[in-house]
Amino acid sequence: MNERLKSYLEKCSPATVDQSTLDGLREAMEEAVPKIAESIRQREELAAQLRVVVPTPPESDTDKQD
Amino acid sequence: MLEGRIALAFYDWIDIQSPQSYDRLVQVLDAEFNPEEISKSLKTQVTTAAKGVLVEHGYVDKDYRSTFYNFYAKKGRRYRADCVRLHFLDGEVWYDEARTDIACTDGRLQDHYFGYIVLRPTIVATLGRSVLSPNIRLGARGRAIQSVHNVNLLGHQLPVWGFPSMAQHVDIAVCAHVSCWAILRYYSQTFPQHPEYLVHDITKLVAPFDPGGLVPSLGFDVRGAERVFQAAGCFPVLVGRDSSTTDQAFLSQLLAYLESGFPLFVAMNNEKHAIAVVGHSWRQSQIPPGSSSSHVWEQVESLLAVDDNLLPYSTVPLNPTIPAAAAGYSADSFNAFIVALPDKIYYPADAIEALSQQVGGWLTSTRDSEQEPLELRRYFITTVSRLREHARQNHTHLGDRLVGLLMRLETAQFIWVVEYCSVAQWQAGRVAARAIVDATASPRDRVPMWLLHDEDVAFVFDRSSVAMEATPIRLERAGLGPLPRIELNLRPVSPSPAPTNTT
Repeated sequence: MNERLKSYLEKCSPATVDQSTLDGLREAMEEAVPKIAESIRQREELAAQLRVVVPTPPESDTDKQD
Repeated sequence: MLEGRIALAFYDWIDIQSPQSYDRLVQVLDAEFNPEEISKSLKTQVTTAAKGVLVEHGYVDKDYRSTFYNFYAKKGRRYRADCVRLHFLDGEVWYDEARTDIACTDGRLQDHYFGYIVLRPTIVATLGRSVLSPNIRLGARGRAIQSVHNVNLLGHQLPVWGFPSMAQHVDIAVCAHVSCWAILRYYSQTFPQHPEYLVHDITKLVAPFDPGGLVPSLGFDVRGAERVFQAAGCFPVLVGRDSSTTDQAFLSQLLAYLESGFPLFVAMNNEKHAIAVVGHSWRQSQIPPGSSSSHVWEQVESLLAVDDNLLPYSTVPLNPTIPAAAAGYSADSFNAFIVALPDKIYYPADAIEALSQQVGGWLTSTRDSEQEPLELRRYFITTVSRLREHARQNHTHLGDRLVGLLMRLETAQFIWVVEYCSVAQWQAGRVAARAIVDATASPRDRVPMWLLHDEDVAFVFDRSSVAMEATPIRLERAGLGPLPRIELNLRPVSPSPAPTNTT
């Protein structure tokens, strides 16, 4: 932690939070990691399929007017 | 017949008393600018706030010239090199023919200017590079990504806030090129590190090799769009949608990047079309959240699009049950979007979705039963400088302690901001808790957070240590009430009245 922030925190009033609450927050964040990995895997898989099959926009209304 | 024609700057003024006044364009413009079609579009898509149009003849447009030098000049048919520019002004401005000048009573022309559209001499699809204020676009409401463009007109420099747009050329460029061009032009206008790409440059970036004759352009797939953004120095993320993708998964990511101020390239297979999505409007009356901790995409009424078939800022309803606007499609038609990210954003929107759900669950478990439930979640990327700007402007609501923390936090340039609130707080523009997450974190980072706070307590994470311990401190905000919601990246649209008779 940078010194500027550290000395500022020392001047602040500490909040009373028990260790189990802090551990709960850490666990909640750690539990997100495998979920994140899975959602990124799914997104990348779908993107790979789209790169192969999606035939984007050959024309639009303006083309049809021509 | 066109041989020897010299572009000569001269001006015509058209008073707009009713939508029919736009018919005068047919008299003052040559036929190759297709004034009938332009007049028809303006009658039905511009509000009554525009009371005067200054026609600037003989305008040299860099984007048209890029296609003229590389394409139209090589054709057997003769095309002229000059364009016409139409400037839109409100009722306070008049044109002084004798002095060849525009003037207004308060002397502040910049407050009465709504931007311009360029007309190309291409006979069909003549609507060229435009920067229009969303405030004169019929139906536009909510917030839109905009940048300031300084326009030189008759010796005045007039700033206008808007998003670049144009119609596709049909031959050398189609809707996908135009969507890429609009997004990259916004970037070059907003961020000095991004170079400017002209329309012809975009057509060359699409293919991995120089295809030579560029006509007829048959459009390109999402790979082509990714290639354009990569070649332009961006880092594109492609997010798709198939039958198994939930609206929540797709639209929460779309809204997260949009609210971060990144315009989105959107592909629609059934429509055979591509657009840029640049804004959104929230519902006037909130709908009950779909779950105990819902992402705020459900509170979006419509999106604002730059669709090359229409003037910019067309409204796209979120689903087909809402009456369709002129665009004729809804967000249900979106199959994929690409967000062109800058370097140093490694933590994607799907990662922040999972993290924010977990942290939201923990926050709920720590709250008293009398406190309002955290029913809604919202997240977006911003820079720490913008966050500090918000803190400075809202100092009295945030309190000295929280502002002091935000000013001293040592973060990366880009951060994710996550906000939690109840439906009632959402309606009032307030939030109950907020997290500041490192946008440069790895998705496998176990503690990617810098700061988490509610109205009373803040947890400051030491991300310079291995343990990344949190220090809880009291914010001492007694009497300051709920925290204000952060609206940083999109500018509000001020709707103006619709024309009454457009036939």
